[in-house]
Amino acid sequence: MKENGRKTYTYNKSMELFEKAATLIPGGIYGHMSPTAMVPGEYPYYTAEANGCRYKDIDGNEFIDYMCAYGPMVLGYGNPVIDGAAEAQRKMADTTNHPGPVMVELAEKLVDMVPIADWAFFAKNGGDMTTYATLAARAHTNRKKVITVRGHYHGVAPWCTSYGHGGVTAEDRQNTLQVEWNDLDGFRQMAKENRGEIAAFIAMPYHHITFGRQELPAEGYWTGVEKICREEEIVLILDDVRAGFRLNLGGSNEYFGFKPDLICFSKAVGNGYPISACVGKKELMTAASKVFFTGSFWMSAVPMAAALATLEELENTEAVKKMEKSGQLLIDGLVEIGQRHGLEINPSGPPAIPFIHFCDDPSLYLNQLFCSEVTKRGSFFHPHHNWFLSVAHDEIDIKETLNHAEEAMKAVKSALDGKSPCLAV
Amino acid sequence: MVLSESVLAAIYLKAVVPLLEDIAEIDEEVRDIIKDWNFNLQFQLPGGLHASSLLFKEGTVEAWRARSPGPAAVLTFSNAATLNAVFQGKSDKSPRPNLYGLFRLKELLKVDSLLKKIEYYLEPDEDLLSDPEAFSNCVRLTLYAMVYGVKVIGEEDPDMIPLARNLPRGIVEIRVKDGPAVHLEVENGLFNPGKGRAVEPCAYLEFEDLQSAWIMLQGEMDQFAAIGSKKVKIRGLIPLIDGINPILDRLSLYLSG
Repeated sequence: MKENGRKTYTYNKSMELFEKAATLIPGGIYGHMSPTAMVPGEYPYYTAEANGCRYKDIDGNEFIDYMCAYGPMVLGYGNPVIDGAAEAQRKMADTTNHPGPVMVELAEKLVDMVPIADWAFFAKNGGDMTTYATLAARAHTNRKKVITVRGHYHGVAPWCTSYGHGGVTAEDRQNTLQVEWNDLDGFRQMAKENRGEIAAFIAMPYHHITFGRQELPAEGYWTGVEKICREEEIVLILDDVRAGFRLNLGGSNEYFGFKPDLICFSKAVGNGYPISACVGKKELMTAASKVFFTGSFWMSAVPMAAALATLEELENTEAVKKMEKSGQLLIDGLVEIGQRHGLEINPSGPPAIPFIHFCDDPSLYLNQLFCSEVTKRGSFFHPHHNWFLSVAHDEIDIKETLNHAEEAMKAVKSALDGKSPCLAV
Repeated sequence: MVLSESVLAAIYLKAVVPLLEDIAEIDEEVRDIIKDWNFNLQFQLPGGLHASSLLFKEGTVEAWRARSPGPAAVLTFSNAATLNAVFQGKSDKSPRPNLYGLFRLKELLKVDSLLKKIEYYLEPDEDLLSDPEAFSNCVRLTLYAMVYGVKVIGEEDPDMIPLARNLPRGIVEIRVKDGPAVHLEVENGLFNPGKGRAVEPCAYLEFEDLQSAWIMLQGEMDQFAAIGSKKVKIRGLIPLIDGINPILDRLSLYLSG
């Protein structure tokens, strides 16, 4: 398609490859990257190459990326400092009979950076760490039950996956209780009713659920939760997999002002290299050591070297400040464009991990239309999932994105043409 | 997985039997059987807690997913398992008629032929599927059975009730492009199904053609792959569609027995 002499993107090669994939792979592409989670057919499906804050799909379309691989990319794709550290380690050793010395260096770095941390444990994915943390909490307390917040995502293990997903049984969830986000009284009541049985409370630092508006903690929520956990001897676990290292390098709890017992990190910790970490207070170290938890590649040295370099680079580049500034510039620009076109945009979440909704669009039809139109013009906006900024995004990238958004908004207005969003899509 | 005989019986009574209302409109043989019937027929389990009624009048049928609004020939199955076995063709144990039904014995002897017509459309042979109009009717009737079946499962299956209660509120429309449609209003774990398009659904799922719809309705489709390849289009409040999916899976499980 052409617009002002400039083509909007099509995804023919993505579609073609997906057709083949669907004959070989369940779902074609599964999990969070499944096309079903976006607007199927209106987004690219396969990446060809990536550099800095941009990537190209297999149709040759280039995108300024506001998903950052769903969070892991924090310093830019192909960052030479991180890739250099990984390559240096690769030349020495990666997956062998033993971990490399870099494992101890990385643990030491995390203990130095994260105020609550006295020790660190490593794996591959965020879900490894949330499961590990709950096991450690059970080992520490000799209790079974875990309280979660409804809608918070902690991975795909059956204990934290919604009943109804394939293979998950009601029994898998029988020790998992749920409270609503920001419902301190509900949490207090649940803790009281199950006194002596709750091993842990696990939650994200703020409410950032797919398809929903992001909600920050209410005044006094986290300090209240912390107090109840102390009184009831419940282990407080922060799932900082998604937000970690974008709000505060010491953990998002430092941003919101509370002290968990365990923190789970992944995504940004290795700038795309596969690694996750759980850090904790010394009181839990003995129990943590009793949890038998491992995997074939968990001791691989290359991701650890990359993570060490990433943490150092995040400190050296004032990453948190930079991402906040870029995110604010993006959000302010989008809100202004919405106002000018008479479609009010409602941003939510911290600027470094922003998301938008249109007012009066509870079914997300407008989000789906607008985000896919922006994406077709060269800036990847997910319609249902919070976005991510990175250190690699600069002012020029943001301005280019706002130009894409301006043109996309015109396309949305044209598609609406007096119709309801439901009929326009 | 333990399935409830009572829930399956409710599916037959409230999602399957009422299809005769629509079948009578398209099937001449059915119209011929019922042309002189002017009475109400009620199928039920003992006590009438689960019941379904067909109101015959001058060659038409009106279906009620409840007890008959007036006097009726009542056929009572001895229990849910027996009803299910009869509908599955695994038993020929006849339901017990009431006194009013005894006066309609001549008509009641033909009820079995009517019920077989439902099977004819829900489990069509190749000949029927090769006729475009008949194929469209098969898809439409199966969609009707599906949405009313979802209501039964979501409201009555003990495993699915908690899941249904957590569904977002709204109306989801399921349609075939330029073809049949159904919709389902969901609120607080209760379902209000409807035939045809919704005025303004919160979410919709659109099959690109009858064939795609049929494959999905037979449970033979990788839905994720079909959506990714645009054979099925979804828009709007996706968690509503996503949340109904396990209920649909459970419905298939019930009906596969």
